[in-house]
Amino acid sequence: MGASVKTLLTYLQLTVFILRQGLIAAMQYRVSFVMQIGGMIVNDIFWLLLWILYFQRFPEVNGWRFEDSALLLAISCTTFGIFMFMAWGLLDLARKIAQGELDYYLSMPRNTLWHVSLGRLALAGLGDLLFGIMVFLCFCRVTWQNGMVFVVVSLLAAWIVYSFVVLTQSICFFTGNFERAASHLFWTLVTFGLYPYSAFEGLLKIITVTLLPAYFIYAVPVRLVKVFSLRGLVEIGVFALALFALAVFTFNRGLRRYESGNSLALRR
Amino acid sequence: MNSESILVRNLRKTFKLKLRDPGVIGAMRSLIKPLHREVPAVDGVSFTVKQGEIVAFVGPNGAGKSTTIKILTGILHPSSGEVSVLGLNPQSARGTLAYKIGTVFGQKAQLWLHLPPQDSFDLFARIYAVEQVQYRARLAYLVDALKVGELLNIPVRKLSLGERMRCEIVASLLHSPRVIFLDEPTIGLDVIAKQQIREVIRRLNREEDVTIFLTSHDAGDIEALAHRTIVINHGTLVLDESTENFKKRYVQTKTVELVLDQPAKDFCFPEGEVLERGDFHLKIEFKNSAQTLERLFRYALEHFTVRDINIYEPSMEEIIATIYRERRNRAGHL
Repeated sequence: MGASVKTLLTYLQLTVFILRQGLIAAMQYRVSFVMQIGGMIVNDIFWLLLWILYFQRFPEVNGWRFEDSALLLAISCTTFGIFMFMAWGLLDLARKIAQGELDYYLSMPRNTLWHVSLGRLALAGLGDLLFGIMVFLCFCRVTWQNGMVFVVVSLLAAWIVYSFVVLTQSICFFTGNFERAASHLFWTLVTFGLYPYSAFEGLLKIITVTLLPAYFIYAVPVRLVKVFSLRGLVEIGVFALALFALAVFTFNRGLRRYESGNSLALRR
Repeated sequence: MNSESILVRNLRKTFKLKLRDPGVIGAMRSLIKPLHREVPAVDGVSFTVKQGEIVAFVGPNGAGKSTTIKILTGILHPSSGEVSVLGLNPQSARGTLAYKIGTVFGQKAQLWLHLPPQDSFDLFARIYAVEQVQYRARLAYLVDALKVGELLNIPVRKLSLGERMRCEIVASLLHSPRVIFLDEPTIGLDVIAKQQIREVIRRLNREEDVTIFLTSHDAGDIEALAHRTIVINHGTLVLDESTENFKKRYVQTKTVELVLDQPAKDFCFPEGEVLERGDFHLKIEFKNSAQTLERLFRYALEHFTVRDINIYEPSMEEIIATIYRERRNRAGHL
């Protein structure tokens, strides 16, 4: 137990150090640095304005109000902000597999998946994360309890996104070429963040509970922040754990089939 | 030099190659029923490397050198056979082994492009869990040996290839590995950078008894460093003997190409055979000896104005052809 905690702490320290290095590297280009963070915030502001204008015209649609959309926007921005900032390298995993570019990570003594995840940092994620928190604080009903629930469900949802991306990108180990399909699946998942949770019914619910876990990333977290239930939290926690286990299993299995390449490569 | 650092027994690695007939019909057929062919990259290779040995693992492009190194470092999984490095299985104990070995892939970078090397070194020290005191001392030693002191705070993207490569080597050696795998470490480098890298490899081997496993197309690397040379071709071993013997038997000639200001027809050097003679340039082949080379240069510089000089050694393909020819002859005699 003691050794596991020590390992976890070491990885946390290393994660902070790598993110710090990534931020320092990104700051070498001031304009790009500001544009990436600011650009994402401006993009998110447009979504918020759209909802403000929409709900001024139609204050309630099927029980869905502006506060609900604001909460959904806050959760989705925070969730994807965390993922983008801490694991954007994963979105490049299928390409790295297909082109045999995992050699560097495989020659290192630390966990390969962890290292690949931190291989690229998306500053836009920081913008998303800041905006998500800001929307929650300014436009949602904030109490200590739902504030904590907001943090926990956002982290769990980010963990689900992480596992989903690992799983879909790792398919490339077995098919040889899955880069575009994996990328499409990710962006489809992002798109579901625009739907009210009343939309997750019937066939769409089946799809979003199985193939595209949008139900657990958007619908369950929004419901839990609005009305907390332990059962809902356990539901999302168990799903996150199961998906993570499946993703890691697939990735490790895939590594056995990895075929390295000889192309020239530079680390950015 | 007693215990084994590397053990390879009957190693095989095959890659699956997708086959497809040309044209639309071929593409359709491949979509419905894809055909594959197993291509052996490494085919029944066996050898051992003792602790403290420097072994050159050479062969033409596509011979299986890099595949073997990648299996030895745990990057690739073998199709069959037994592999052990420092008593560990590189596939099942990849993480543990990585702390004890160093890898330098001449064509792959591990330093962060937009950061100065110092920042990447700090990161590697943490990744390899090197104690701060030990790290500072080791870094100072490597910085001095590879002459990279002035480069530590310049972003990697602004370094020349030679400077970058020297920094890459520092990064690979920070954790004091017991075995170092070098895959084309001097590719594309100038003579001075090559010499510096060779000197550091020699020093580490001499002072720390580090085992070196090296692949290179540069005969100079092999000549300057390796105790032993293993030649691989089409995935199988064709030769395994001391570098001294290897040189004596297979690197017997040198070819010098000269570009002159005066007509080349007047050039007369009886110790060599003229392979090619143009109006102002010529190619001469002669027995590989430093004295002959010196005599050739002296003659050329005394009698001609030399515009350009190139020196070639037999290519790996030529060496392998000689090895096969020798074997055929030996089999014919038996």
